[in-house]
Amino acid sequence: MFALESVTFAHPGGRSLLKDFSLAVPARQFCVLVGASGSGKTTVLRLMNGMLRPSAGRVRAGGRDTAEQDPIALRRGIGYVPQGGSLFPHLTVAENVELVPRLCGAAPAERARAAAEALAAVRLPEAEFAARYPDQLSGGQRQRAAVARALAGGAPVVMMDEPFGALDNALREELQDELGALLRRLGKTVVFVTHDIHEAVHLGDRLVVMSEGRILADGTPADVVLEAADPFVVRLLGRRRADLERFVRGKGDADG
Amino acid sequence: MDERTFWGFFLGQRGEILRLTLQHAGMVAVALGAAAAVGLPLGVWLSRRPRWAGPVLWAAAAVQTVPSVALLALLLLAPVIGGIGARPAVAALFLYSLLAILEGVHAGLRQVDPALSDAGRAMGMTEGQLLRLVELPLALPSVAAGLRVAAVTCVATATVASYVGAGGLGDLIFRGVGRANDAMVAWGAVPAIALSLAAHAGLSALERRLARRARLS
Ligand SMILES: Nc1ncnc2c1ncn2[C@@H]1O[C@H](COP(=O)(O)OP(=O)(O)OP(=O)(O)O)[C@@H](O)[C@H]1O
Ligand SMILES: [Mg+2]
Repeated sequence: MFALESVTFAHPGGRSLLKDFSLAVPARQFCVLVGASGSGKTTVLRLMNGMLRPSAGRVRAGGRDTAEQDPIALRRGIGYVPQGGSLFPHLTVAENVELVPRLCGAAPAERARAAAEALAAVRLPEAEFAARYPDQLSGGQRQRAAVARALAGGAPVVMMDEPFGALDNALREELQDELGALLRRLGKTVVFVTHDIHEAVHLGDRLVVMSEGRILADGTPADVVLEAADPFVVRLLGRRRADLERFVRGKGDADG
Repeated sequence: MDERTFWGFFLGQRGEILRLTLQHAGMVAVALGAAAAVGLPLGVWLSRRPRWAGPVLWAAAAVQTVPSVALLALLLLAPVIGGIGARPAVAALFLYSLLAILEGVHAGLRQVDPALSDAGRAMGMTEGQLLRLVELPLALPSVAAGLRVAAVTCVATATVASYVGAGGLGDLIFRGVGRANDAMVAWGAVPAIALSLAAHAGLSALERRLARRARLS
C-alpha cells in the first residue's frame, strides 16, 4: 500500500537523515513506528504523504510512484493526525472535524453525520463538544478531536503521529483498545507513530523500531519483544521487558 | 452672527463644514478602498514570495518618507493622475495607505503557525483552500490593524490635499490661517480629529472582534 524504496532524505540544511531506507506497509496492516525523539518517525510519515520528497529512491502509494500522483488527491486519501494535533483555533470542534468531507465536496448533512460518527468514535459527545473551540478543550480532548478529524473523511489509510501523547494512562489505554479495535473493524491501513514501546506493542500488528534514521528491528510485537538483541531495542524495552514478554506470549496463546 | 467665534462660525457655515467633511471622508474612502483592493492581493502574493517581500515593502516605506506636500507637487505634474483637483490627492493618499495595508496582510500571514498550514496541507487542502479556510481567517486581525493605521494616517494627510485644489477640511484650515480666523481653522481641525477618532474606534472594534473569532486574544 505504502512503500519507501531505498529512500535518501536530508532536511534542508541538515545532514542526511535517511540513507537507503526501505519500508513497505501492506494494505490493512496496523504498523507502528517506534523510536526515540529525533529518530525520523515524523519524517517517514511526511515522505509517505508527499509533504517531503526523497532526494533519491522512490515512494509508492497504491503501487504508483507518489512523484507522479496528484498530491492533493493522495493526501485526501490519508487521514492524518499531525504531531500535537494542530486543530484550527478559529474553527469549532465540529468545523474542524468536518473539514476533509467539506474539501471533498460532501453535502452539509453528510458532513455533519460523518463528524458526529467520528466524534462518537473518540468519545467526545457531539452535544457537549461540537460547538466548542479548541482552546475550550483539555489537552486530551484536543488530541481526541484531532483523531476524529482524521477519521471523518473515511480515508482508507490513517497516519497518526503520537496521537495520545497528552492523555493520562487510564484514558490512553482505553482509547488504544477502542481505537485499535475500531480501525481494525473498518479495515484501515494504519501507520502509527509513538515513542512509547508499551503502546506500540499493544496496538500494532507490526513494530518497526527506528533510531537515527535506521530500522533496528521490524516484525510482529512478539518477534521484536522476545528476540530483542540490539542494545538500543533492549534499552527501549527497559524495565517493562518482562511485562511486555508476558503480554505478547498471552496474546500469542489467545490468537493461537 | 460673528463668524470669528467658534459657535458663530459653526452656525453661519455649518452647510459648508458638512460639505467639506463629506468631501474629506470621500477622498479618504476612495483612496483606502483602492489601497485595500491593491494591498490585499499584493500582500498575499508577497507572503508567498519572501524574496519580493523585502524590496516591495521597502519601496512602500520609501514613499512614506516623501513629505506629503512634495508628494502632492510631484503627482500634480504626473500624467493621467495629475492636474488640479482630487486626482493627485487621492493618488497620494493611496500611496500613503499602501504600506500599512501591505504590512498588515504580510505580517498577519507570516505569523500563522506553520504547523497549522502544514496540517491543512496534510489533509489535502489546495493552496487556495489553505489561504481561504485557514491562513486569511487567522491573519484578519492584523489586516484590520493595517487598515486602521492606514485610515488614521489618511484622514490626517488629506488636509494637505487642499494645496492642489482637492478640497476637504484643509480648505478651512488654510483659508482660516490666511485670514487669521481661528474659528475657521478650528472647524477644519475638529471634524478631521473626529473622523480620525471614529475610524480608529470603528476599526479597533472590528480588530478585536476578528481577534476573538480567530482566538488570538
Ligand atoms: N524541517 C526540518 N529542518 C531541519 N531538520 C529537521 C526538520 N524536521 C526535522 N528535522 C530533523 O530531522 C531529524 C528527525 O526528525 P523527525 O521529526 O522525523 O523525528 P521524530 O522521530 O518524529 O521525533 P519526535 O519523536 O521528537 O517527534 C531530527 O534530528 C530533526 O532535528
Ligand atoms: Mg515527530
